[in-house]
Amino acid sequence: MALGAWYLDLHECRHVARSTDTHLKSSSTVSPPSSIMRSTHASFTRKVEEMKPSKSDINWVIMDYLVSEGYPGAAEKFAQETNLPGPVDNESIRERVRVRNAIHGGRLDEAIELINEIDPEILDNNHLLHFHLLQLQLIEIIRTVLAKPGSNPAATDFLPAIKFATEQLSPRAPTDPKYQQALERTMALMIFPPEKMTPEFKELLDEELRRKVAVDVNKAILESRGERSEAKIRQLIKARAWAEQEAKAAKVDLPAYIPLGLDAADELGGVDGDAMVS
Amino acid sequence: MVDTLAAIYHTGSMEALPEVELEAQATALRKLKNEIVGHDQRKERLVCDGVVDMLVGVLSSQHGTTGSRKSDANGPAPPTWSWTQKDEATFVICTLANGGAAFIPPLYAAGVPQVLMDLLAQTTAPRLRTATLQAFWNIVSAWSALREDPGDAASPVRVDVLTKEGIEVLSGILGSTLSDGDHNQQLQLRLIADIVTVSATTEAMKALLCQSPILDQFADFLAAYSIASEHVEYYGDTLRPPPSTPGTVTSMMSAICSIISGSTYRTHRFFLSPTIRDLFTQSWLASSDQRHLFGARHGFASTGEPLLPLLHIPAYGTTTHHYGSRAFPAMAALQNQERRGRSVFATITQGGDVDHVNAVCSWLLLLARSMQGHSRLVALNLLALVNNAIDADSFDVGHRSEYMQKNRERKKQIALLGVPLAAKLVQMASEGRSSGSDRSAQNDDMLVKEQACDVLALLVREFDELQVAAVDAGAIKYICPLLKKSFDPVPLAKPMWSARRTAGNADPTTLSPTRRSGSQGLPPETLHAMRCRQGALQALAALAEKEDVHRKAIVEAGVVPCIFDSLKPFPPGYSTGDRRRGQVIGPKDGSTTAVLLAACRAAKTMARSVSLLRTSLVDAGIAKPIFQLLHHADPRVQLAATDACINLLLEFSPMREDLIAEGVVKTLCSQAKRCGPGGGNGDLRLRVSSLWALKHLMSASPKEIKIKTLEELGTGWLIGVIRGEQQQVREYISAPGGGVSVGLSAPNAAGERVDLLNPQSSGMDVDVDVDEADPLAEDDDEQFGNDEACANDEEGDGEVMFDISSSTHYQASQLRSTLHSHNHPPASPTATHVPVFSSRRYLSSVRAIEQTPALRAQQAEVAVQEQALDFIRNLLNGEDCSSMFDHLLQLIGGARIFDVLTEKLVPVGIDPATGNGSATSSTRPIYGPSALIVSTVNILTHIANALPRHKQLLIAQKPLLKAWLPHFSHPDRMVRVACVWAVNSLTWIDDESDRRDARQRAQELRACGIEGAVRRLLGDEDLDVRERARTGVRQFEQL
Repeated sequence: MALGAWYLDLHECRHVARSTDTHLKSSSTVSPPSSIMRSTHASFTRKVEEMKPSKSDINWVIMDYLVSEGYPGAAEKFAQETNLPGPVDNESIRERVRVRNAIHGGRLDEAIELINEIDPEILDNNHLLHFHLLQLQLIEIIRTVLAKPGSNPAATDFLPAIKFATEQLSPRAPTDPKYQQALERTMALMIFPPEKMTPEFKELLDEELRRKVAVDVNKAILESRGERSEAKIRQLIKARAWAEQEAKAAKVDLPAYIPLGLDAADELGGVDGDAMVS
Repeated sequence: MVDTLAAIYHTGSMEALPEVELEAQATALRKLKNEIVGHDQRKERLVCDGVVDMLVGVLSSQHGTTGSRKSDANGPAPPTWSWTQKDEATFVICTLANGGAAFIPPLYAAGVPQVLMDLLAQTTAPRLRTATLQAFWNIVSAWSALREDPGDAASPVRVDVLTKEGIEVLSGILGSTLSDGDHNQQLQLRLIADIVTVSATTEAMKALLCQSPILDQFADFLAAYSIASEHVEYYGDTLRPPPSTPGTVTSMMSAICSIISGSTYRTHRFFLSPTIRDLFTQSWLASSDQRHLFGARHGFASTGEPLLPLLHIPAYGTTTHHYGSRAFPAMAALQNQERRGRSVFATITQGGDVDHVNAVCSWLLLLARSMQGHSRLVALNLLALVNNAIDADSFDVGHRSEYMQKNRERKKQIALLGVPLAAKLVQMASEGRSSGSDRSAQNDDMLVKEQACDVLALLVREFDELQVAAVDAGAIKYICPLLKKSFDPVPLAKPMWSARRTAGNADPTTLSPTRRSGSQGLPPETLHAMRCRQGALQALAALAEKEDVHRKAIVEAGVVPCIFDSLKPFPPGYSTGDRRRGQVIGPKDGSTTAVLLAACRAAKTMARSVSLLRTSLVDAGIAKPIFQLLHHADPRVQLAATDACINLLLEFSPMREDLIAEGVVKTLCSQAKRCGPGGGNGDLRLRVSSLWALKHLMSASPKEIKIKTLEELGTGWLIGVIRGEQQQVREYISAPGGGVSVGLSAPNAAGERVDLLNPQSSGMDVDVDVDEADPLAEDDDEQFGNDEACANDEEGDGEVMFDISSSTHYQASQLRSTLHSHNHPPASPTATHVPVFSSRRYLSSVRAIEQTPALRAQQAEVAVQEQALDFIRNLLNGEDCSSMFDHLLQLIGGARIFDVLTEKLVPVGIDPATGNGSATSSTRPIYGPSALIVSTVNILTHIANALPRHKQLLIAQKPLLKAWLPHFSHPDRMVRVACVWAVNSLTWIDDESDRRDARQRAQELRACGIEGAVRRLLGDEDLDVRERARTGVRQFEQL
């Protein structure tokens, strides 16, 4: 199960990598590939074959992924299987898991308190992240109202949501258009019945949003502890995508499509792969 | 929320609460924390409700500090409630302080910083410790933003946050052993470094930090980091484990920068700290000293392979060195002397350890190259500070020794490898290139933008070679847009919305200070623009220091109007409290004090170009704002504006008339006189600058102005200043028996008593006679081509000329002798023939020169006297020389004038070496500093250039002539030239009627031996002196 989730995430990384290509290019200082690379596809594949990364390196990368993405159980098992030293600070991983589970489960107030328990600085300084969490919380409040049996919720049912928005979200709203827009859209959820919503509003009710925010939170926690905010493998994949693009720009002869070797994940695409939630 | 507060209050009396209530309190506090995190408005309300006092109550309660809690320090002991509530209370303070500058006054009023420090001293629980440090850091960083605010200067917030005890606590934490991978500890290290960085703002604080072990501890970490990153192969004892995150290293480097900036001594303390010395001496298995391999020529070949690009720097000459401006090569003759003023350090550095210094600079370069963004900038900052402290006008002295060569190599290395890196960072800042999209990368970009120009300025200041390197790297091209951009309107964050109207606490002034939040200070966006502007101006000022080409390029970039705009302070009546009513202070509205200072500096260096003075600067109307700044409330601004005025008042400056019309004479005169007895050093600097400006005003100006200025200053005051009556320094200099007997010795860094002027009184067997008794010093002189010493030897008339103050052969040699000749019996010369180096001794001498109060007072006093003498000199210069002299005679009286001049020429004391009864040789007089003698003799020249009767008057002053005679063989060629000029004027025949008098004057001069002295100068080593002497002799012969 854990590995399934892992594949899925990697697949998602690849998209991330593509979307950040342009940015990476601008800050490049690496010299273009040498002329040795100018050869046929065959020689490229041969080179790939020749390149045998050591098993322990790969294991390390996997371990790093499990630790920073917050899979303590899998990390321990993996450590036993591979004879790698286990994660140093298991408690901190578990803290992050608790936060993530709370977010995934829609228990935002609990998540915020947990984050404040880890380090109150995180939300106090990152207003955007704080706002996203509060927005999610508002969405959850609205969701419960919408989910109530009966066709049309009464206007008074929304009072708690309005109260929450007034107290928690609206003070920040005028400071930046992005806050304002997000708040307006969220409030609009109260107006339209779910079945008539346009996709941009539906998006807000989609649980995918929780996952997105959870990733951001995970990053912020890691950053606050002075650790790398991203698993090494994400960086590696970004670097690979960047290198591929650079090489193509420099007209190095490469196969048109170099698979990442994650095709198995494509089949898993539709499944909700995040098995660690439960 | 109020309920929560009440709950805490209820349990507020701390004594011996049962666990249950403590638990309730902790829960309440936690709830409070969750309420306010991320909600600034709630924080404000909470402060009004008096939360600060309550928190202080919780934090300072003694509960739980007794018993076993203290001992089981690092173990993961289960939290007891008394500690949890402190944790939570600290977190609340963290969060409050995050709210910004407005929360600082109430926190201060309740004494929170002190409470936190006490807590830090008591606790060893890692979590609470981290939280406390975090809270402290939040407070300090908001506090530092508030300091830049131009608002009320008298607020209590201006006091230092750290105390001596606080520093001890911090250093204790730094010193505790690190367990691997403990994230709390790593965070603590970083927070401590950050706290130190921000709070080391005043001299006193920096001195305190320097005395504490903190500086060495940071240096240790840095060394450990370098060993861990395999920059250096190290065979010594294992050091402490390095800080594990790169961010911590950066913070520590900034902390070091903060502590050592502004003092040569502290900088030496850093790079001579034991670990850093070991870093380079312990890195070889071989027993011999291989440290030269760290230098530029070998590219830091610590691991066998060079880690830096190899630089081949030819031993002789491709470096063109020139004094002053290329546009005015003739200025070189004049500026030569000016540079000598700084040579005190250069002279001792010859006793320094050049291999070590070069290794340190290469090492810092390597660090900078291995880092990115802001970290790289900080490493360069450290490099700049070290390089500036080493201060060598080394390549001006000649290329005669290996020592000089090594110094040149270091300069070249920095020019080729360091300056371009800094320029590149400026370019990044200027082009707004971002290094990433996440928050830390954005923060990094912002810091680079604020500091890159500053660091570049620091790196190239005072070194023309480096300035050229910076401009070659495109610095001007990148700095100017930054400066312009700092005037762009920035979108300010809009205020937050609130459901209720602002809380109805009727009048905030009725609240107790712990409940009243202060002003928000400048908006952060404006503050950012200010910092960028300040840096850009700083950099322009540094680049425009020496080269006219650079100044032209700056003008062509079109930033002169920006300099003009930067000279405008924020409007006086503005109060940041008005922000809520919609009146927001943007970057166009004015400038902070730091910007004003930088702008004045830029104006000053730009005005050094005559052509710009007459074109772009006058067009920009730069005189008016500078004149207004003369009346600024901040004395630092006054001083900077006065400095900028100096060049604007030159005779060819078109702004002179305007400034006079504005009333600059009155302002400058009152500034010059405003300095009570015992006034601080700052005031004396203002006096020097004001007199300097007035001196410029005197040259070639109409008679009325001259007379008016003289009247404004008052002749009595002027004479008093020249005689040094006001500062009492004369007592130091010319106490009977020579030298100083009281109050001058002070314990130095190494705990020895150092007495600069009376070394023998410190109980050491010191012999200051450089020429005979100190073979090592003499060796040095020959080795390193000390001009003065050579000149001394050549003249060999048995009289050693000592400069007693500022610019001084005397002190420097003496210090060196204190350094090396006594406790180090002449060791076998090392590779560079430098006596065995002792960093402790070396440090103490650096410190003595920098910090001995009497010495500093003397230097300041001499500078004042010099300007005052030059004021008279310029007064007498020009067409109306004779009438002005008549005017002076009338006001002061001939006898008094000549008395004063004689006083400047006679010895100020007796050489202590012979004065204390060793009595074998004849007593040796000590003369005043050569700058004063030059000025005095120049006045004589002007008097001699007036009417024949004035010449007669001068020649009749027998004591004056007698006092003058020894200076014909002064080691400084400037003095000798001036002397011959004066004689030439005296022997000049004005007209036929004067011929008889002229002959008589010549006879007088012959009689007192002056003619002989002039003839001896025919063989002088200096061409200028020889030529003048030839004229002089011819004139004697024609009579």
